[in-house]
Order: sequence, then C-alpha cells, then structure tokens
Amino acid sequence: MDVIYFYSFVVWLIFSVSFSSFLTVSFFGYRLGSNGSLLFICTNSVLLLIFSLILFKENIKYGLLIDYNIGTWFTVDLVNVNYGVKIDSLTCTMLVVITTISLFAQVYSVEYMYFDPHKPRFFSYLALFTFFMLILVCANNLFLMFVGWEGVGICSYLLINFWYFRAQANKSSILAVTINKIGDLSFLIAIGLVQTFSKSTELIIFNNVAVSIQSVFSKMQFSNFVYLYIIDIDNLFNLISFSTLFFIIACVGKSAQLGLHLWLPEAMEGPTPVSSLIHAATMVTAGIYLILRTSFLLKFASTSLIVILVIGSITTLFAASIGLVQVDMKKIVAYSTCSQLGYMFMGCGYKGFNFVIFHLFIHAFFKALLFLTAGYIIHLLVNEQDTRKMGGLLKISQFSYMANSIGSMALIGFPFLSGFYSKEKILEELSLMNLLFTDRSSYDSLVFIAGIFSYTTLIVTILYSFKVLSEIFFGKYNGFKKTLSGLSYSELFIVVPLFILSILSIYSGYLFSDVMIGIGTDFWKNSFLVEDRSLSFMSNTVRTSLDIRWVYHVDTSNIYNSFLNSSFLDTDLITCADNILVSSTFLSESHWIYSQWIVPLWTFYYLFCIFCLRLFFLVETRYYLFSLLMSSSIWLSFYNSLVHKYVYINRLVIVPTIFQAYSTSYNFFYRVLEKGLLEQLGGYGIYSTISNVLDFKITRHTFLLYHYLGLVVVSLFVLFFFLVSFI
Amino acid sequence: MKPFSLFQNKKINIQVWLLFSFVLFIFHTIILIGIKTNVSYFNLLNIFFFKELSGLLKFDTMGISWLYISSFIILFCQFIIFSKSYSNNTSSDLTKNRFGLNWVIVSQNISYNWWILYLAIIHIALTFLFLTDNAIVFYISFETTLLPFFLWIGEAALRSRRWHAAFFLTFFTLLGSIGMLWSIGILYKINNSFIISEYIFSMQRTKESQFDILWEMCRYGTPYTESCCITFLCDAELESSDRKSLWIAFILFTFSFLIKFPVFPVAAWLPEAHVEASTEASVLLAAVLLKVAPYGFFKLIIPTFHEWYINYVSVLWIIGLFSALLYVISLLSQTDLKRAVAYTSIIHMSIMLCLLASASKTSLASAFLMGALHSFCSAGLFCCIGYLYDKDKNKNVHYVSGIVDMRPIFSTFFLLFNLVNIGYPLIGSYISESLLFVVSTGSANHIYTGIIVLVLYFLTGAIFFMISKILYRSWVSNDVRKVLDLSIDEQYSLLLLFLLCVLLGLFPSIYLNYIEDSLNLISEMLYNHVQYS
Repeated sequence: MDVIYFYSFVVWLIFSVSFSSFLTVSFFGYRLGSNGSLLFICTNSVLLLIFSLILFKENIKYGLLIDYNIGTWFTVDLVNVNYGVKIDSLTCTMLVVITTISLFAQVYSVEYMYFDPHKPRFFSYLALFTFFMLILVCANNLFLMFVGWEGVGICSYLLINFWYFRAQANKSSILAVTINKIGDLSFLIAIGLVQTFSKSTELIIFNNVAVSIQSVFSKMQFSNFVYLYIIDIDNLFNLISFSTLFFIIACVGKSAQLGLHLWLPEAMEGPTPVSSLIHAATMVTAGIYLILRTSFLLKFASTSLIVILVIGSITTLFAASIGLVQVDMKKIVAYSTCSQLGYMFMGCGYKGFNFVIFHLFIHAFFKALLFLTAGYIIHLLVNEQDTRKMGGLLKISQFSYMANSIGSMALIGFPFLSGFYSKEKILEELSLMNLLFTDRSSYDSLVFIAGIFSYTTLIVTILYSFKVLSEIFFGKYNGFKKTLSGLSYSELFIVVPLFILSILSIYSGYLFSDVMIGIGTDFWKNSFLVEDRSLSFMSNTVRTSLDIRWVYHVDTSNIYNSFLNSSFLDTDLITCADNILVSSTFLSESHWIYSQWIVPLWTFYYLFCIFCLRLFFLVETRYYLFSLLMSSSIWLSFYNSLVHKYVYINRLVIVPTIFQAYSTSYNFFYRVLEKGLLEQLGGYGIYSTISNVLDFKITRHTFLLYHYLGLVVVSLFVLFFFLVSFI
Repeated sequence: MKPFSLFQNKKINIQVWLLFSFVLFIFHTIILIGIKTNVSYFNLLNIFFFKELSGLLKFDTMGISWLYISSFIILFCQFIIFSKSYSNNTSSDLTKNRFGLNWVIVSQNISYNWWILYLAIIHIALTFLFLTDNAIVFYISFETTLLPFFLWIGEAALRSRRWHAAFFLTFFTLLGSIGMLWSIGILYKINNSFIISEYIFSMQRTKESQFDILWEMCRYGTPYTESCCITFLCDAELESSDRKSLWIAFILFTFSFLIKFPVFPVAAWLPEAHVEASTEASVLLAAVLLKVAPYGFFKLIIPTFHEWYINYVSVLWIIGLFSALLYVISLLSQTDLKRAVAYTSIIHMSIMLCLLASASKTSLASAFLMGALHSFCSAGLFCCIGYLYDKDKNKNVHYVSGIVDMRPIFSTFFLLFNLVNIGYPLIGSYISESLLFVVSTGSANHIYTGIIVLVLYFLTGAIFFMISKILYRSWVSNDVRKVLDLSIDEQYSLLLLFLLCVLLGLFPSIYLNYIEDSLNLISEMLYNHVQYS
C-alpha cells in the first residue's frame, strides 16, 4: 500500500470519527444514556489523539506533507473552491494540541459535570467543537478555513450559554457572538481581497503569489525596468497590505486582543472545562494560527507588522494589569490568557513566527492546567469562585497547590519549566532586536517600546500569579464556615488529567524546544515564514550602507522570475555572498553584547521572584488598601480604575450605543419613516387623495354594481386615450 | 359583514386539487431531469394559434430551477395544510388565547379547502411564469398570483388590520403592473412582437456591434427570428423617440420588479402581509413570490435593456444598500416575530439586488444561489413561527421566552434556521455573502463594502438577540410553560427544509452547474457591452 494513501486514510478517519461522535451523541444520546455517550465520546477522543500523534511522529521523522483536494465545492467564474486538506508541521502541532486538550477536558468533565442533567448535550457540543477546530487547522483554502472559524464561534456561543437559565451566561454569549462577528466579517473581506489579487484562495497558491508580487515590487525601488512587464503591481501590493490588515482584525477578534477583548473574560460564565478547552488552549489561538498561515503576506508588509506589534505589546500589559486586581479566580486566568496571546501577537510583529507557534504549543498545556485546577478548587469549595473568600487551602488540598503552583511557575517562565523555553524565547529575540537595531527608524523604536511593555508585563505576570497563589493557599481561611463542612474532593477523572498536564507543563518545553526552535532545525519547513534570524541581523546591520535587505528574498519568487534578466540575478548572488562574510564577523560581536546584558537581567528576575513571594507572604496588601487611611488616597482611585476598566467601557461606549441604536430604530426608522411617511405618502396617501376626489363627484356610495361599472369604463377610456397619445 | 362569506361554507373536493398539483410537480421533475441546457426555441403554438401567443413555452435552466423550487414549496404547503386540517385541534386549554377567544370555532371557520385551491392557482400561474417566452403570458401569470394572496390574507386573519394588509398588497402590486403593461405595449410597438427573446435593443447601435450580435447568435444559438434579424440589419439606428420610450419602458419594468423585490420605498406591503397571512401564505410569499422579481430581472430586464442596465447599476446598488441598512436598523426594535423575519427577508432581497446590480457572472450566480437558500430558510422560519403560533396563539417576543426547556426540538430547529438566515457556513448563504465581498472588493467600491458589513453585523446582532430572548431567557413566560414540542409531521417538514439547506450549502455546484447555461448567456451579453462601450 502506498504510504500517502495510508496518511490520507488517517486524515479521513480523524474527520469521520470526530463528526460521528457528535452525530451519534446528539441524535442517539437518549438511547445510549449519559454514561454510554460519555464512554463513546471519550473513546473517540482517544482515537483522535492516537491518529494525530501518528501524523505528528511521521512529520518529525520524515517531514510528512499532504496537500490534496478531495472534491470541488463550487466553481463560479474565476472562483474555484475545493474541499481540500493540508497536513504539514503546523497542522500536526495544532492537531496534537487540540486532541490532547479536548481529551483531557472531556475526561475531566465526566466528573465535573456529573450532576448535570444535560450531559449528552454538553458532550455533543464539545465533540462538534473539536470537529470544527480540526476543519480549521486542516483546511487548505480560506473558504474552508472560514467554515471552521465560524463553527468554533457558534460552538463557543452554545457552550458559554450552556447554563442558559443564568442571565449572565446569556449576556456573555451574546457579547461573544457580536464581538466575534466583527472579526468574521473582516475575514470575509480579506478572503475577497486575496481572491482579487491571486485568483485563488488556496494557502499554497496565494502565499506564493504574494511573495512573488512583493519581491518584484520591492525590486522596483531600485530598478524601474520591471514596470515594463508587470502592470498595476502597485495596486496588487496595496491589496496585499489591506488583506493583511483585515486578517489582523479577524485575529484580534478571535484571539481577544485589545479592542475586541471584552468577550473573553465574560466567557468565563461557561463551565470550567469549556474555558480550558476553548478559551485558553484552542479557539483563541485560532487567530494566531491564521496569522501564521498568512505569514507570507506579511513578509514585506511593514505597516501590518507595526500594527501587530503595537496591538500585541499593549494587550500584554493591559490584560496583565487588569488580571492583577481581579477577584474572580477564572477571570484572572482569562486575563492571563489574553496577556499571553498578546505575547504571541507581539512575536508575530517581529516575524518570530516559529517562537510564537512554540509558545502556543506550550501555553496550551499550562493554561489548560491552570483552568482545570481552578475548576478543581471551585469544585472543592462548592462553586465558590471569589478568591477573597478563600485562603489557607494548603492545609485542605495539597494536590491543587501542587498543580496550581506548577502552572503558575510555567506561566511566569520559571527557569527550566516549559514557559521558560517558550515565553522567554520570544522576549529574548525581542531584546536581541533591540540591541541590534541601531538606525532608529520608526519600526525599531516601536520594537524598543514593545520591549519595555513586555518586560513590564513579565513583572506583572509574576505579581498576579503569586498573588493568587498566596491568596488561595496561604494565610487563614476567609470564607464561610458552612463551605468547609461540605468540601467535595475530586476523584480519579479530575486528578489524572491534572497530573498528566502538570507533567507536560514541566517537561514539554525541554522536550520540544530543540525540535521546534533549535538552531538550524528544519521542523517547520515551508508551513509558514521562518526567518533565518542570523541573516536578518546581517541585513539589518548593513542596511545603512547597502540597501540589499530585500534582494536576498528574491530567489523565493517563482512566477515573476522569468521577467528578470540573468545579469541582475548574478549581482544578487554576489552581494549575498558579501553579506554572509559581513554577518559572520558581526554575529560573534552580537553574542558578546547579548551576554553582557543577559546575566544582570536574569539575576534581577530571580531576585524579583523571591521578592514577590516574600511580599505576599508577609504583607496582606489588599487589606492595607481598604483601610480607612487609604480610602481617600489616589492609590485607591488607581486601584478602582484598574478594577473597573471594563465597566467604564460598558458605561461610556456600549450601553449608550445600544440605547441610541434602539431608540433611533424605533422612534425614527419605524415610527416616523415606515409607519409615518411611507404609509401616508405611499399607500394611504394615494388612496385618500383618490377617495377625496371621488367624493367630490359621487357624494355617497350607492352599492349598485352598474354605477361602479360605469366609473370603471369611463376611467378606462381616459387611460387608454392617455396611453395612446403618449406612445 | 363577514368578508368572503360566499366561500366559507362551500365544500370543494380537496383530493382533486392535491392530485392536480402532484401531477404538475411530477411534470416539473421530468422537465428538470430532462432538460440540462437551454432549449433554444420552439414555436409550435404559433402554427395553431394566433401570432400573439407565439413563444408560449421556452425552457431555460434558470426558469426551470426556480419552477422546481416553487413547485416543491407549494407541495410542502399543501402537506402542511393537509396535516393541519386533519389534526386534532380541539383541546380546550390550548385553543383559548389570552383574551378568552375560543379558537375552536375560529379554526372550524377557516376553510382549508379553499387554501388548497389557491395553491393550485398559484401553481398553474407559476408554471406559465417560469416557462413562457411571451410577454403577455408573463404579465398575466405575474398578476394571477396576486388574486389568491389577496383572498388568503383578507380571509385568514382575525384582526381588522388584515384589510390594511390586503389593501397594501393590492395597491403596490397593481401600481407596478400598470407600468409593466404600458412598457410591454411600448416593446410591442417597436419590435412588433411579444416574444421576450426578440427584445434586444441597444442604445448606441453601430455597424460593428451589429456584426457582433449576429456572431453571438451563431455562437450561442440565441433565439432570434427572421424578423428580428431584419430589424437588426435595416434599422441600424433606433429613432430618438423610440429610444426615449424604451428608456421609459426600462424604468417602468425596473420599478414594477422592485416593488415585488421589495426594496425601500415600496416595501411596506411585505411586513404587513406577512403579519396578517397564515403560515402557508407566509411561506409562499417569502419562498416563491419574492423570487419572481429576480427572475424578471434575469429574464426581461438584463437581456432586453442591458445597456441601460449597465448605466443604472449604481442606482440599483444604492437602492439595495439603503433599503438593507434601513430595514436592518428597524429590525432591532421589532417585537412581532413574523414581522422581524419579514424584515430579514427584505434585507436578503436587498442584498440580492446589490448582487444583481454588480452584473458579473460571479455576482449573478451568487445572487440566485442566495435566493434559493433564502427560499428554504425563510420557509423554515415561517413554519417555525407558525407552529409556535398554533400552540400559544402568540408571536410577540415579549410573551414568548425561555422555551428551550419545554420545547427542545422546536428550539433546535429555530436556532438552525436562524443560523441559515445569518449566512452560516455549510448550511447558509455563506457562499453568496463571501462572493459578494469578492465582487465588491474587486470592484473597489469601499463604501459599498462598508455598508454591507454594517448590514450583516446588525443582522447577526439582532437575530442573536432574538434567539437569546426567545429560547434562552431565564424568565419563562406563562404562555409557553407547557410541554408542547413539535409533532412528528412538523418535525419532518422542518427537517426536510433543513436538509435542503444543507444540500445547497455542501454541494452548491448542483444548482450552479444547472443554471450555468443561462448565466453564461446574460453575463457574456453584459461583458460584451462593457467591452465595446
């Protein structure tokens, strides 16, 4: 049997298994019973995990790449869209993340949702979510990717709204849908733009076309002869830039970046397994995935890169600073997710795409761990989420302390835990860029500012992580006594996923860092734009003397190469060779500079970690803040402004907008325009005019047929005369 | 005085009309299967009858596809009426509404048999409408659909507001049809024929374009008679008075079809009619009657007046966008469910108008695909609301809330059809919406794109607010606190419609390939014009 057919079969199995688990449980759940449907779904998830691990292994070993079209979806004129599958390194990584976390979430919720009457419905939603997420990551064109994109959105709506009898859950779900719709519509616009400039929406085709167009465009800056051959390339270049901007808006919506982030903390109204699966590990990372998939469009789109960098760096600090003062346990983790996604965005902003996907991979494990541990504690304390009503839980539950501290340590990037390999790598590269960019262009200064933001966030992350740890596990118990009498410890189904996730968040960084982001690794191949960092530094350093930064990239172009004459390509090769010499001398210097900075930095970092631990153990800051002495000070108002950031936006922007829309809709459009003007001038106006005119002739209705008939005949004559005269 | 008391106690044989419609449906199925391309022309009737009836039948794939969809919907409505008339509707607590009216008496008074007859009339009229090539037959069948709807709406509802609705329907439709008759007269005077395929005029006809039109005739086998060829060769230049009257004919035709669409200034009749009509009438109105207007654009306006059409495309765009924006904002504050759904169908039709006005092959295909999907999804939504109304005698948003616990199956279907309505991928008109963006971004009309984005955003917001209010609200109203889920025939009827939506979403190429022949004809006509001008 041919090997490729085997892998195609595996891919087919992945889809069929995930969709059949949804169909079976939603249609025959009442026959299987709750336990039967749970067993069915969990078995299917295990199968999915096995299949995706097979693909992942093959990818690491042999560089598996599948890209084929199963059949035509629709063909209209130039728009040709197929049902197609693309399996490469990026997809395999995402597959592993999705299937692992969904399996853990499902096993976890067997026990967590034990007393819920609607278990089959809940599990069928989870299965449907997994199915759509698989479509999203396996699709080979944008139209099909959008199916998964909208599908996970609607599953998110249904799962946030799972406990629909809660008014807050209703509100949150509507908020999630309405905010995500902004992103979805901009995705549609971006699809339109991509179709316009490349006449195809297949990932491989439009990425190649974009690279070709951009490289030719950048070549034009010092060689005007290209104008002779390629018409309207200026417009095409603009189309590419605009499509990247709309893709960014879509990603901002899905990944809850600044501006469209409001739905993520509110989405915590859903059950905790949902939060861990959808709002931490998989769905919110779909935005990052989309950026990676369209990364070749970003190759020369400097404006879009600046936008990504700014949004990402501001979001990290903003979200982390709100997380510092929240009291709801799940909301803290949600803001932390927001902040980590900001890091990933920022990484995309300086084209460190491989570090971003590595952080996405690692982040899924420890963030799922944090959420599920929060669920454990909520379950323990009988649905208590307020951290102010906890404290001293170390004596009650040592296991949750272990899990939570491992998760927090991984989150803050404590050395040699998984976050250290992924998150710190993004910052490290950023600081390298800071050190190396010397010509102070606008982009470089923005990178410098982003560096400041992200290092501040590093500190804030440590602060809120240890704050939560100390509030929950140390000090004395601060809640109701009644809760302590009804503590419900979790059994195997909750503990085992937590245990495995703890292990993963300790070791996964160490295990996978060499494969994924090691020096000279070829793991990612062409699944997204992998910048060779050393060469880019080279080009930056010599940018002032010789502007050949873009020349190096020309040999990736394959369509427009025929337009370029051979002598020109020769000069490229020569300049490249020169540069490699320059860079080799420079790189040793840069490492020397880097090592000068890095030692004091890390020393400071460790000291700060220890300081924070001491701070929260010794001083109970929050009680100090609310004392009588501090109540009128500026610090309290600062604190309140941090707490009520969302409330301010709600009061000042959203509520007035909705109120204005409704009042305009009812008072102006419906009452004045439709019921008033259109009816009175349209139907009734003419009716009343005619009846007034007729009343002048006929004073009363006779109800005799021949009177009316006579009227009709006369008016027909008049009309006929009129028509004939006109024609 | 009771309206139409003449009809109410008469018995007609229900089985005959059912059988009649079923036979018609089978006939349409045979046509659908048998004819895959445009049958160019056959003029058999010209031999037997007088000249004005020539071109009575002409098969183009677009018309056949619409005919088949309409025929299906009509059979579907007959099924609903049939099941309703035989169902046990005498339980006392269900049949009392909040004002204490006894609904048993009312439901006995409703003459379902006559509804079946109305359906048969509409069926015959639509058969001629979609298959004819004769302008007068087109006009007659176009107007014949008005009569059953007038009677239906005037008869079905209890409120006195029904007069208002029926008056509006008649008034607007007749307003359009006067102009249509007039313009058919103009066309007859100039071309000396009633055959629609012969009405191909050009505003600035030159020697070169004459040749091109002849070339087109040879290439595509477009139906030109001998007289038409002579017209081309002899009257190379249209007279200025003819050109003026043709311009008037174009405006009047467009106006009469815009009333049927309906769009902003003349759309007031549709929500009124929907609110007062019974479920089946609403289904027909949304799924069948609204699709006549886009078909008229395809059949009459674009081939006949394509040069004027190209020039006035921006006006149509602006009308479509304005009406979509206005009705989507009005939608936010609607309380009557049927009215809200009627507004969404106005919005969809406005977007269809925008797509038709884009006048490229992509946009035309996506417009008709959207129309087909809108047929099924609006039929499903009106059925859902009809079933709700049958059980609670209420369709106000404020009195219907939190019904998901009591009626899970109904809630599922309502949610799914709403998802179809907002253009959800794989089951909804997502393809048309995305192609709309492809078209509008390609033509660099950024303001148009922005307005469409606004419209779709508000539409989604309003529909999700509605869903959350009706299905998921925590406060359960007293009216719906009964376990009254859908009966088995209702479930299957909705499932059928939903499966059709899924079919069109998953495999739209079935429909698109079928209508491709017709689309090629008009799109190349438009394209050639753009080239030469």
